[in-house]
Amino acid sequence: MKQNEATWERITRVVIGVALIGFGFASLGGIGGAVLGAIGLVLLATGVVGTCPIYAALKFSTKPTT
Amino acid sequence: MTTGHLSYFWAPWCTRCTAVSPVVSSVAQSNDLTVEMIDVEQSPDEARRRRVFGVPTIIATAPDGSTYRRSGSLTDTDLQRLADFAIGDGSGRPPINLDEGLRLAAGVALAGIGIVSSTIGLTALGVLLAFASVANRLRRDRYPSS
Repeated sequence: MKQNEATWERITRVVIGVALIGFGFASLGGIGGAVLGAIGLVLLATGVVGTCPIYAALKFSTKPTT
Repeated sequence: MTTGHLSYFWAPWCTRCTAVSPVVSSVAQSNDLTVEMIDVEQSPDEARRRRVFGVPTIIATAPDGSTYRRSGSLTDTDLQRLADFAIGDGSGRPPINLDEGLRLAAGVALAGIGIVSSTIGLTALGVLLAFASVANRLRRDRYPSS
């Protein structure tokens, strides 16, 4: 898949994703923690890969074209 | 010191090669690099000399003569990393890039959180992610061009 996220966005997604995973799974626990952790996993995965499926569906991109 | 360049080995029957060729030319042009397009059907001796056993294969040669190669599927990121190596200071290794850095940082952070909270799943995920960043580094070319 073509990358559609800018560098700043990828780093932000990874940082927030790791924070949510840590807080959700490791700290909060329970269903709420699992939900937060799952959201964190999605953010982490899209940040690492550099492609957001929602962006792709909307034909949107924050990645500079040059 | 000579300038770096790219060598792209392709074959007319390889559809993947045909699709990637214009991207290789574009990356070389935008990075001010020369690229030699070598048809392995026309130049089998050159492919054999450079130990190219499959197509597409791209070999990046840095100004000091050191080389890195990548065979098989080539993403835009792979091509740019090879181009960066070819125009770099020839220190012998391509620079770590954002993909690798993010994977490594995320993997280490997850593994650390997993260890601290005794969550085996998180630790395993973190270790896998960190390993993927290291394993995905470009392979050093064991077959020098000369």
